[in-house]
Amino acid sequence: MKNFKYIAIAGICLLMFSCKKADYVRYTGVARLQFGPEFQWRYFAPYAYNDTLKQLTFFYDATTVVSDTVYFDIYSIGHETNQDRSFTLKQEQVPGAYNAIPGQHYKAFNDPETSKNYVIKASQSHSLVPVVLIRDNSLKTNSAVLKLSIVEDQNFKFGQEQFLWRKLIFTDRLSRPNAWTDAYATNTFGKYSMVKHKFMIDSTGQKWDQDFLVKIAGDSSEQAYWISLVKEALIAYNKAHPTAPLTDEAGELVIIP
Amino acid sequence: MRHLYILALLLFTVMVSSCKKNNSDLHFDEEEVITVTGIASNYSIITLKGNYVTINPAVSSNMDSDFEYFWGIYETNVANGTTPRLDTITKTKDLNYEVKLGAKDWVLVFRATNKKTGYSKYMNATLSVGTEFTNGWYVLKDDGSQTDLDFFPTQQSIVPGSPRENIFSALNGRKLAGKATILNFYEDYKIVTPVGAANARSLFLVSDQDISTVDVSTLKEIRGFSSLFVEEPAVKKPAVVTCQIFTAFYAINDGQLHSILNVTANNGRFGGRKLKDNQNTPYNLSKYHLIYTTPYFFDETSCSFVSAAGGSNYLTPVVDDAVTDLPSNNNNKKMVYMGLKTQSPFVGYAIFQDKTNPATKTLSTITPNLTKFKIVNENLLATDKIYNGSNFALLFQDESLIYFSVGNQIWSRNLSNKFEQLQYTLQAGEEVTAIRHRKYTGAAPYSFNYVMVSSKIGGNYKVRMFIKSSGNLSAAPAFTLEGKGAAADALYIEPNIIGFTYPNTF
Repeated sequence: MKNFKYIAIAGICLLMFSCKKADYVRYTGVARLQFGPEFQWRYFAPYAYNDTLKQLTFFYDATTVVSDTVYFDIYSIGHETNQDRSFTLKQEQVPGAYNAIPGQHYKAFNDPETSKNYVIKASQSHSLVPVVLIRDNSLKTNSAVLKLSIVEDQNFKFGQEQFLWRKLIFTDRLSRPNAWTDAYATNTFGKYSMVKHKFMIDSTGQKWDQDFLVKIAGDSSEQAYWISLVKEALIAYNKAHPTAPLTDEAGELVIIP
Repeated sequence: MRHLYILALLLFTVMVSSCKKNNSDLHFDEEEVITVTGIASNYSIITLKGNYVTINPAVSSNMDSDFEYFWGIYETNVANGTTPRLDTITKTKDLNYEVKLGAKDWVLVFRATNKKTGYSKYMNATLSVGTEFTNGWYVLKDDGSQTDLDFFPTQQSIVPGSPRENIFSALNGRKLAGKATILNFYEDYKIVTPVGAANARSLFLVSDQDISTVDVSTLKEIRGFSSLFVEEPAVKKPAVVTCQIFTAFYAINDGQLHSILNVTANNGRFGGRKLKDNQNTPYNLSKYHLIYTTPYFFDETSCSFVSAAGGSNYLTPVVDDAVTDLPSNNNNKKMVYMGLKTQSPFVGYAIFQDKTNPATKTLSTITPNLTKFKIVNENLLATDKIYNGSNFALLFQDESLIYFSVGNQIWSRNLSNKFEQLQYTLQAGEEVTAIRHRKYTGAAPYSFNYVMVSSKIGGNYKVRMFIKSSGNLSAAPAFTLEGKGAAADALYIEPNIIGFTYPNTF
């Protein structure tokens, strides 16, 4: 019994020293595939989770625009090869969401016209994944969610688990641009609502879309200028409607901090 | 005995697991000493004249050596968030470098590496780059309808040589519209370059109808009024440009406050006008203000003090101290003058005139604070010289005096004991246009502490530079800057002057 105790203590000692952090997926000669940030940020760890979610709206587009394409960056792991390598994607259903329907909201990933683009070219380890979105009438009242993920095939096994999927939310209504982050919501624009967004557009003549928000974020004075215009317009609106100040689609007072 | 074996086995197990490879860099060899001589700590050079900096260092080591060399350079005073880049100049030992750099301080880096040991010795030297415009006195003046700049270069001392008149218009092909108001200098105003934002050592020329920012190394205009705002204000009526230390620039135009938050990315343009409150109550700011780490302005519409923040779209209301002679809000006063006396403690003085009873004037000590704003009044008598004074100027961080003019006389008033004293009388017919106190503690012989009295006679200006003793002016000025027009302000500029060498105050 005593010996057993000593053996147990020795075992615990060994166990303590044998603890080791789990490794990343190691290269073992198998080609793997995973999504990543834009090419320019591929070696910058803080950008690793960039572009996990992208949003698009047809709201600003002319009525003649019937589709649009969103691109994600995808990377192969392992040696480059001297011939093109196709890869396979599938849609994953998101529980509780208005999931996009292939053929109605986007061109199916197995559609030959689409899948021909899902290729890592010879001598390359990076490619852009085009996702063709269709401007369906249902998007006027809904925001569709499309979660796409990598499928293992003859060319590629899975890369790191957390980079195996991307999500896309698209609509034909106003939608919160990616740059309207929670930090911006707290400090600059306030809580997002479509009513507020529309008011900002109407009172300034600017789109307040992703491109515009990114542009003004690069110059604090420009951002302050446009926010100042919106605030002034909101005050004027509320003064003109003393019993019915501007409220959003949830019935909350529109406030810009 | 068996227990001993078992314990030994346990100990052995732990020891095996505790073994660690020694990867340290400890060495006990003799230390190599590389000696570099012949590099001074500072080199000064004037660009635009094809000047070279030549350095021939001597390098030796106490060990067997075979050296390779490197000369590089990087800039100082870069924009926030920008990393200075070390550029290679040459890989020879001797440096003969034609300087074509912007006017500012740069750092030369010399490295000698012993290829046999891998050891290197680094040496740094400051390279102070100037131009023909970086050292001298600038006078902002006008001819009654247009504003320009005269430049008085300094060569051997603070006393300048002959002026280069109308230097702004000569180099930029235009004058500023309107009458001259104030001249400021900042070293961290942002400009757009092909590689991003950069700090520009800049003069801000302000007239009552125009503003121009000017690169002091070339005197070329960076932005005029039309491009200085994100959207050009409909009314061109600038009052002042000022700066909150290390944080923000402010411009008052048509009584409205605009700002550049200078600690964030910006292109050197002022944003939209700030709103007074969430009702967009109208306001009209005086040009007089107090600013250091926090700005304070006076709204002439409501007769209230307000503060501001560079990143906010609103003015900030202030709250009175429990004990104050005058409310900071809705006090029914007209601001005749306000200036900064000391930065720490943060104290200013103002002259107020009652709106209901204009005969009532006070000289008030202002201790600004967002939540404890305090004003202490001293009633002025009609017999006091200051009562009818104009062109007020406080001695910033110096004697407890305020200077002012009455007609062609220059007077002082002791802020503590109210004693007033005639300090200087101008020639008959001379009109005082401004009084300023400017001082700079630089390397001799460029240090100075002057009360500057600007006057106009017959279409010409004089800026008399008076040394003071115990606050009193010397009998005659140390020197006088003279030129055509009426002078509103004057600044001495040299590479070591920074944005807060001079206070942002009238």
